[in-house]
Amino acid sequence: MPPVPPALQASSHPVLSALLWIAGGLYLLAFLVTAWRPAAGRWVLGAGAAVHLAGTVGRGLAIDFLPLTNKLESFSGAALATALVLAVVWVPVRLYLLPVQVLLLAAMGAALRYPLHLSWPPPLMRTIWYPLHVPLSFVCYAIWAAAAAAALAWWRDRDPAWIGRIDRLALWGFALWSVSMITGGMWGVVAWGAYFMWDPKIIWSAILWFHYATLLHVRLTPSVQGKVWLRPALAGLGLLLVLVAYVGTSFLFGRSSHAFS
Amino acid sequence: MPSPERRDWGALLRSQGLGLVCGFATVLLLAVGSFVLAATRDGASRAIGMDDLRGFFAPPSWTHLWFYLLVPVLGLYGLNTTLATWHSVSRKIRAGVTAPARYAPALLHVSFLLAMLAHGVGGLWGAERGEAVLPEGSWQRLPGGPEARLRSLAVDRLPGGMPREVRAAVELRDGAGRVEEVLVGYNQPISSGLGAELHLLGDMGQAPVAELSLGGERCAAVPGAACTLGGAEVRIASAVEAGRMGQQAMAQVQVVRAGAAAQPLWLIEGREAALADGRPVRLEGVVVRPAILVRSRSAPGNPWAFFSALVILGGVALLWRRFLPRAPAPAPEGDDGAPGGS
Repeated sequence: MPPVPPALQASSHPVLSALLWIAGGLYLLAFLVTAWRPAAGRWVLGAGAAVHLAGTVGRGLAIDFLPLTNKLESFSGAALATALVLAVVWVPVRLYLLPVQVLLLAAMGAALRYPLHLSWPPPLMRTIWYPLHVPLSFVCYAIWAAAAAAALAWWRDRDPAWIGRIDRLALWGFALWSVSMITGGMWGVVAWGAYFMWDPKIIWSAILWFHYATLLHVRLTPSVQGKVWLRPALAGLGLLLVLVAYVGTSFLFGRSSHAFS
Repeated sequence: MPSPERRDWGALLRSQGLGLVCGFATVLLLAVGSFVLAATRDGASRAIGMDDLRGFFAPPSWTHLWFYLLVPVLGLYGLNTTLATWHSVSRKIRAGVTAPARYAPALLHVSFLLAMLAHGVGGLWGAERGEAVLPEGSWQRLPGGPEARLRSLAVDRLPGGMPREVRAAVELRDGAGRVEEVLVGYNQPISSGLGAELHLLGDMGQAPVAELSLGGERCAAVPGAACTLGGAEVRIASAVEAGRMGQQAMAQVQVVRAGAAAQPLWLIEGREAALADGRPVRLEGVVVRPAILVRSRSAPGNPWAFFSALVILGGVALLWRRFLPRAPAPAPEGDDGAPGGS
């Protein structure tokens, strides 16, 4: 690893580093409050997301680019997307909220394990398609995490309303993921000359697209109408696929065109 | 009237159930394939680069069994999608359905079919055409493309030395001699045919340029490239600027004339050497100039993928109402007694 220039070191930006730690603290507090009284947790989570957003914007201003340039910022961005999505799709039910918040805390914890230095984006990141592609992907991961949590809640309650929620979240995720794949494809064309490559991250992006396309068709398939458990099961499986696509491809597959740091 | 048996086959081939099976099978096979590709990247999968499909058959290998299974699965998936979409759209048209949103799923299906077509076209007919070094001031033919010349190279660097932005002004000259100037940079390739032909910035820096003359004619090229002089192609094998290996610059070249054997020549700056036909060729010098490395690629799948993207965006836009919570929202009760909802 080359030495970090002084201007980018975390010690040169104590406020930005502090904001990330405060956001992490608020997320932990939101988890505890949600466990105690689910309706109240939303406001603490929202406060955490606001602080996190401020820290992220600050980091972006410091490098004059979208601050998604290394693994710290990737995990931080995923955590922020999860917090924002959860605040929007909030239903005050512990079994729905707490698993998503565990994922949020895991992502934030992973981010805070790295040195909080800033880094410049490599030249290939400097395109409009990158800021359109990556944050949208994180939002989709978060939406699908919420769908999996809704599946968990359905498993306990057997309330059909959860199935409707799974369908809607899967559809939101699928539509946004399609847009994200398009923007990623455009980036691929201008940077490497191809919208698709036999690269682990890209293959798993296609896997997610096919999986949620299939999930959305289950509702329309007469032969599986009696199998009410199928959509919750697929939503749960979808989260496992999301984890492989997001984290697994960085650790299980070695070389990747998406490995920037 | 079709026979019941034939109708059953038609119903099966366009059924949602078959679509689900194909979807699950695709997910499974791609997941297996991702691990296989990673594990055999330096072995059986070495020939598979970018979006290429031919590498899976060069040579065929049991390692690629997942892909050989994926091809018929996707073929069946495509057939299922085509038949289901045709059936659904024709039924809606017969029923007089005019609301555009009702046709949104059909658009998504068409985009999926276009995307598969893009993969097929790009994977089977796409090619890496090669690389070319474009030094400032000298015309070079881009692999599979027009002649190009670097006019200027501006590199904006970050404090650590990493390039923030590269702006290479490049002139393109077509067969009719028309010249057009374009800007090339990272994420800014020379593109034609909606991305079907691309010349991408690979690297930038400086390169030695051998400048040659024959009578009143001059040409210049970097090592590995060729220029035309006196009707012959002069390929520069190596070029060393003055002061590096001696007082004068030197170049090793190969002169190729139609119907004649290649003639190797060592050229020393300021001295003449005779071509096979007796004419004198001269190395005027070797100059280090700003240069860019351009990677050329034929990607005929890109336009199809672009059309697919437009169609899917249209489909998603028409579906916007479905993203809204349905009223009345049957939200579950909160387990702390609070009402549900989002």
